[in-house]
Amino acid sequence: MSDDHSDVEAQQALDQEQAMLDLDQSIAHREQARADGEQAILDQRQDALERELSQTPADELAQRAHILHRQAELLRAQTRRDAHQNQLDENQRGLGGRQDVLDDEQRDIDHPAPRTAARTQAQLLQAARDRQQAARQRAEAALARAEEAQRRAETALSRAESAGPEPTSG
Amino acid sequence: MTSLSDPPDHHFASAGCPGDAEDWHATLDAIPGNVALLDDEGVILAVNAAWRAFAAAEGGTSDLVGANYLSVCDAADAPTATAVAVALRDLIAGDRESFATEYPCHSPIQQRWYLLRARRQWHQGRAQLTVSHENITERHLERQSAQLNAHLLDQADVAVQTVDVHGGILSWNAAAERLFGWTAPEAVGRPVQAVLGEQIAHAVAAAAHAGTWTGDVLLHRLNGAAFPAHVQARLASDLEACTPTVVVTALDISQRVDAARELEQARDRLLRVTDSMGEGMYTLDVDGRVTYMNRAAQELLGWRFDELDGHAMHDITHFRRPSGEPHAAADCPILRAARYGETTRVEDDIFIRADGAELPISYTASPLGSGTGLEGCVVVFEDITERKAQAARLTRRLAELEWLARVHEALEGDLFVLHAQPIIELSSGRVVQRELLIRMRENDGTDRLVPPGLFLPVAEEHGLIGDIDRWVIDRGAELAAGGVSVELNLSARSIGERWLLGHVVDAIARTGADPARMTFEITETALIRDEAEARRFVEHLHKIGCKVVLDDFGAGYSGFKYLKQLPIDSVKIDIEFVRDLVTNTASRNVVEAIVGLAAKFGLDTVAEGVEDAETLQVLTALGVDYAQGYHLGRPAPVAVTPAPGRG
Repeated sequence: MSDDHSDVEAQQALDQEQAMLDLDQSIAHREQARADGEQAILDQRQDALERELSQTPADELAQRAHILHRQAELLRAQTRRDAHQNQLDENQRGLGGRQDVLDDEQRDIDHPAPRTAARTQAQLLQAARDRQQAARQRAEAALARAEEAQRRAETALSRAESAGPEPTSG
Repeated sequence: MTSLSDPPDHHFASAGCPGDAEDWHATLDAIPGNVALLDDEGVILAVNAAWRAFAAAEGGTSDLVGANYLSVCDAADAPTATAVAVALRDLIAGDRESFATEYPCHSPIQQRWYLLRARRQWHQGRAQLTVSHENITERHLERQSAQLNAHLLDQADVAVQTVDVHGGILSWNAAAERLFGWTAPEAVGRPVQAVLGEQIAHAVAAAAHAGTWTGDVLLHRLNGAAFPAHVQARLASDLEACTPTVVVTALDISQRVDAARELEQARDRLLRVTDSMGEGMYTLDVDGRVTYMNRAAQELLGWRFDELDGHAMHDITHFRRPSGEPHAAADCPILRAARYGETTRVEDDIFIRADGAELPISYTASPLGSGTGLEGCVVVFEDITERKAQAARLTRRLAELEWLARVHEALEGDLFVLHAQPIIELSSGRVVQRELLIRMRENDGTDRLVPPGLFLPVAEEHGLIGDIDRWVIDRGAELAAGGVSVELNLSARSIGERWLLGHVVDAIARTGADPARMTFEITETALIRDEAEARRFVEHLHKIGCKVVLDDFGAGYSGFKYLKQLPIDSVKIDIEFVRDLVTNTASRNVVEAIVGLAAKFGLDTVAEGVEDAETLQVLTALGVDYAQGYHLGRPAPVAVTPAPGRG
């Protein structure tokens, strides 16, 4: 009886941890969605600026300087965005690690043992299916994030390759 | 009176003429000068064609053949003529072999000079004289000019030497003596290489080959001292000997070189000074184009000088005002200084750096000019970022002190008031609680309300927040004693103070309030600030029957652990997730996760900032327990019944 009670408490604690992790994950997704929106705006501004720069005569220093001012401002915004993205990625890795730990703990609880044999086969099966589904959803979300990160990296590379010389050595 | 050059009327006299008369005349006529043949008494025996032509051109009627040349000279009564007569008689007497002299023979329209040459020969045992007059006007003028030039060069300390094409020094003027230390007798006849050195010898050879050579070289005096000199070597012909020579002029340019060096050093010093300046400095021409930037200017503006050299500075660094409005070039004080010579001092302006950032500056623009007029302006500017930041800090500090005085006044004058915003139970739609929000009344007779964001931070920073929290707790307890369930906001700073809990207990005891009607909002900031004291406070509140709600839930990543550690009764969802709940799926997911989390911990959920029916509908659907916001009820003044003993 006491073993059953401790199992229930362990499962409750694990459920609480999972709920906290789910909340963290949902907040992280929301942050990422907002960051993606900011990145899209930055990309649009960068494209527009490059078009404008390509149409400006090379000897029009004042006009080019104004464009380069905006370019520098955009670069600073992009640097801040990249730093924020690194934070988000780091946080996401932390959340992934926490989820792995929780999955391990859940496996420990679910392993059939003499004292937990009271749980029916159907209950165990359902729990395993739920975990599989949750794991698949997390994997899909991770894949989507990885694809988005790759797209951002390609955009950054393209931007770096097409960037003109710095206005000054400072 | 007939001058020596005036030839007598001519006709040929054959008496005493040597050889065949016809050949002899032909030979005599072929001589280009004016030639006459005299006997040993001075009688003119014959003249040549040039003599006759000259006599005709001068308007004479006779070539003087048969006249006595000595008598003509004697009669001329001129020193030159007298001297000639004496010399000719000496020739006839055999005292000398030849004689030559130059003399002027000016006409009314031209100055002329002639060279008289006389030579004695013997004919049939008797002396005869050949007298010739050659026009040397051109040569004489050239020689005069050369002498004048030599004199001027000598006066100007220009050493002049003539050197033959083999390198032997032919002449050496006084300036050369002074310059090189060699006297003329010492230098003349020596090889130029031995006196003036290898470089001048090469210069002479080059001039002999190409006609001229010019250059600055280092020469040496006789005493070995070296000096820089500007040297010209020019091929010329000796007027007398008609042999090619090279005229070498040398001018000591030590002073010029020294002056140039001093100028260069002065320029270097100026550059070093301007480059060591902490202030930025640049110069513009009258059109506002950059002509110079010191190092500080380049660093402060982020542009290198070579990038801006010749470009319009205003269009690149000064096109915007601090207000963000465009700064037209026509209104620029710097350009006015450059164009119209107006000196300007501006205390607060901005330059735009190369990276687009605004640089707060003060500057002075002063016109640059010389004897020829205005040449532009020089701008000296200073980065006033720190000065402006200090001024802003001072202004902020003064504002804080002003607010501090008003908070003191509000505490002493009972100017704080409480407003209450209803909290609705979504399942029933009932008002179950009211969040108390503090305001401050203006003490100017208007009773206008000051929002807490203006005075609470100042009160917290200057230690008055405890007094305000005591006031809030007292009024909250009085309301609770009157049967109103209230939710109180306390500052994070007070929650870490030990007196707070005692004051809550005293207020409840003094008013007889039901502790269950008093809920305290705790923020994550308060929990982090002093975790142990916050934990003690929360646990004790719970122990005496008060409730605790965790405010701004979801705003921080680390807030959730407190759910397991502290006896929290409910969580208030951060307003950021509620605000865009209807339009943002991600926010909806967060609220859903909070509701799920709260269920796992047995907590209630409260949503604040509900401003429309759609949001309320979503919150209800997601299972949120309570809500507050303008859509459900705005904060309104709440009447507090004073507890016994309160004035």
